[in-house]
Amino acid sequence: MSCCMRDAVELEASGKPTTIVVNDVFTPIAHATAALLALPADYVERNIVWLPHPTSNLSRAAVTALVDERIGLIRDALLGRLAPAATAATSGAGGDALALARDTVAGLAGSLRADGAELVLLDFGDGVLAGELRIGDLTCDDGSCIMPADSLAKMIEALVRPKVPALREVRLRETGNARG
Amino acid sequence: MTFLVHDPRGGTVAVAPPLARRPGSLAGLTLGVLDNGKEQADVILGRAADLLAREGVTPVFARKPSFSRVAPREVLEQLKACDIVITGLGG
Amino acid sequence: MLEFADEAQAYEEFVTRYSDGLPVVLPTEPRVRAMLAGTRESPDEEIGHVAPAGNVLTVRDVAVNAVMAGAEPRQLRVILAALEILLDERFNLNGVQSTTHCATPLVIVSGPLAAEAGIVAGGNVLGNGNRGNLAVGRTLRLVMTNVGGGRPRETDMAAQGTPAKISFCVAERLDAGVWPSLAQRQGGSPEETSVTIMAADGPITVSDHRSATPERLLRNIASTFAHMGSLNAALPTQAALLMAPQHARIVFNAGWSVPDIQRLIFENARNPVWRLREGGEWDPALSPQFVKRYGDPDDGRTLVPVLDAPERLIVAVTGGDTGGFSAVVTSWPASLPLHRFIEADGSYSFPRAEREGALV
Repeated sequence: MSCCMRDAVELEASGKPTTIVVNDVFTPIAHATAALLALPADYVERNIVWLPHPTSNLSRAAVTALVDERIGLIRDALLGRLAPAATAATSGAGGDALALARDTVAGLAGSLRADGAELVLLDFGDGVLAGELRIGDLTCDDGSCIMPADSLAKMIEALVRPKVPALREVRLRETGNARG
Repeated sequence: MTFLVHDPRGGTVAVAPPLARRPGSLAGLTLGVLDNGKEQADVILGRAADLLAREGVTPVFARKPSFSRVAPREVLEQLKACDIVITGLGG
Repeated sequence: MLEFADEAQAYEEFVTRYSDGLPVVLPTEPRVRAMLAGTRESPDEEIGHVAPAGNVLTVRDVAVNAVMAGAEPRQLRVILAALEILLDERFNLNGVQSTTHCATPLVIVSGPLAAEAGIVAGGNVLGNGNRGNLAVGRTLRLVMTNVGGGRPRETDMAAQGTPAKISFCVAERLDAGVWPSLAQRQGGSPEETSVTIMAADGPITVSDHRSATPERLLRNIASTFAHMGSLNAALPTQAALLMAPQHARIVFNAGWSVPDIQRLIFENARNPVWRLREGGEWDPALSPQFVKRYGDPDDGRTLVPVLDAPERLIVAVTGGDTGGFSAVVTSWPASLPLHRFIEADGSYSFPRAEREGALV
């Protein structure tokens, strides 16, 4: 697929509008390659027409029907008229995102709790997930059994971002007892 | 106190490539069809070319020897002689 | 340089974003400087662009990722030679990185410098515990990830992958008492060492403790090469045989050479068209065109080899002496296996130290 897109980029640079027709299994690589090649943010939506994957095991008639259904999209793409579809909001509402984030870190929170610290996610807004790391009676003397708040924040960011693409930053404030 | 480490990602300079101007209509244009040889690509692109031909485009067919590589020079030059291009793969 | 509040934070970032899933060693300035002692090249020397991102790769970038992989400076020259191969256009790293197939570099180091670099050729060579082998393979993968941008489920579309994507690196046994090494067959002197890379499937074990003749042994191995699940079955190209010393001796002691092995595998590792039509990756539109080279594509009895020529089988003797286990490695077809030589004094200098002519 990325070879397809490189061909398309070369053709575009020569003044030839190019539309790509491809199975939707390649959606992630299309976006990733577009980012790598510094293509405009809407390049994928405007220039790629998707077919449901797989097609290799379909009859000729079935594949032909898939193209017939999409010929309007192909024509629009060639004419530069393919409008990006309204993307379904993934956890668009802040409340949904917070619930999803809490769900995602539940296991992590459980192991922290076992060592005497409470991880509480409080708010999600403007791409920022805010929470507190409440230090209670720790199982270790020097506080080393609980990761520092900013390291924990990075870990939470890595866990949550795949589920909540709108996440930009995790801010964790450490409260409660002093460590050690 | 800071901790410094080397960046493992190397240098990067990504320059936005130019995109072609889109035509106002398809009638009278030559349509390059780049088949890169993966399963059903010929069926898919062939059908698209047939349907678009009914709207006045003239298809010109080109085929890549391998879907896993970028198209060879001669194939790309053949396509650059067309007005618009469709390409793709099955999979 | 990247700046962090403390080492713990740096480690968290690196193991999350820049690793192969295994722990990494943080590339601090002292460690990178120590690693660069393993080459005479300037740290700013550019090796090429790493697909799919196309970012420039310098010798320093290699040293950084080598530190992360746990490599030692004595492996750096092997790693640099390997990366020059990966960045060769004919290898098609872009394809290897982005394919849905499990393709990964198989690295064969052949010659006296392999041992000096701490790369194991003996028992359990394909397994755990081989620090140098694993470090070389891991460094390549880290460069492919961090500089090349090949990330699973983003730009790397591998459906299942293979454990060999972590590392797949062997040295050739030079003391098996058989034919000249791969490096010598590539045109090197006994003092020289070559690095050969093929875009590979994971290895398949061939167990054989019964065969006492080359024919019986190699037909067993050939049948494994011909399995219907490889891409070679429907698209003949190249493959590699990582041959147990025990197996190599059976063949050598009967007076056979490597070309004899290659010829037998080429003749016997075949599938009839009727079987290819019924299963596997047979493409009714494409496949008959290259079957023509071997016979009538419309005749179901025509036998299609997995190699497109005998010399396309890369043969290297590797592994321990405890048993008769060889490894069959089929390949990803849209990449060409290549090799580079490391000079006898251990230096590796750009531009290319490749021998013209034979690729395997």
